[in-house]
Amino acid sequence: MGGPRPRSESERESLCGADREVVRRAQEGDDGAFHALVDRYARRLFGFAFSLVGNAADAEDVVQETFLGAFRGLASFEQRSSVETWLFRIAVRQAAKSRRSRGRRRTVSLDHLPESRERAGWSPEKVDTRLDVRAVLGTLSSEHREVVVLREFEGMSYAEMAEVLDVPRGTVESRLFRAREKLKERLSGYLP
Amino acid sequence: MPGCEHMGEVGAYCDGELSGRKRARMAAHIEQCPDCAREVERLRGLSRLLAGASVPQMRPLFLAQLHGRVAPAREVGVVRFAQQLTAVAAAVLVVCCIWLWYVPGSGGANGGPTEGWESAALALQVEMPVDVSPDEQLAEWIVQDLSQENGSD
Repeated sequence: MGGPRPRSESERESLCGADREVVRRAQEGDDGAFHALVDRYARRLFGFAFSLVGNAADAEDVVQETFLGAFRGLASFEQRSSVETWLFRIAVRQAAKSRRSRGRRRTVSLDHLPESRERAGWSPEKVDTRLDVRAVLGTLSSEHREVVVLREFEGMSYAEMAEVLDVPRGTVESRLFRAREKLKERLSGYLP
Repeated sequence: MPGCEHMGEVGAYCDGELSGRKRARMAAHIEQCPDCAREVERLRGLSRLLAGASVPQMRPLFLAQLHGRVAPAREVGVVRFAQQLTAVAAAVLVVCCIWLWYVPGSGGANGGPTEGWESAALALQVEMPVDVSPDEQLAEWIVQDLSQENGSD
């Protein structure tokens, strides 16, 4: 998984402040600051994009377009939302664009799971489970997949998700409810 | 939706999205309601399942490529300026080569370096008087001849 999102409130606030400072420096023309932002978010955005588009090549394109878009919009970014929300918002749009232009690819290759194989205690059953979960996630509509990934993988609050997806909070709740219903139904064999 | 009417709120409860009072009320309800308690277990199981679904690691090379591709405009501008400068220099060089090739006397049009004899021949040609008529030249030779005869005397 890409760089994990800090869960504690203080950790997140501190990162948020650091992000704002980095963006401010980048806006003032500090070239290194934008690279720092790339270092900080590239892995997380890759994991997020992979979950949305389903393959590494398209995920890389999405990440690249996200940062290019962020750089282009840097001057007009007024920091009303967090830097994280801003980047994920761009990534969601780029992923949607990627899906539209290339069509949905739902294949999940074992070659994309080196981490799983190398891990101690690796077993075919565990890999099967992971592949099943990934495959089932791929069967959800893009709207449902987005909310599941933002909530379950990125740990975002409903308010943050609403901001990233540019929809009301109620829409986030109803999409998440329906997405979970589908996942529970399709993964019932793995659930209590 | 089967079961309890509060089941729709279980997701928000598990996500920590219910406010203090609602949360306390829901927690109390879950203790009394087997359907909602089961739903909590299923949602937590689903979260665990999703958390275990690993995403491939990003290629380290991609990060390096990314830095190169999203380089700030200033860097891109410098590189672009250098490329344009190189293109202009190459164009000037090509024009100079063509000019050297085609301009007479520049030594390139007929190929190969100029031989020593060829230079000498060309130089002789340049020094030759071109405005002397054959009659005048004949008269000059006679005068020279007579002068030599007188001199030898």
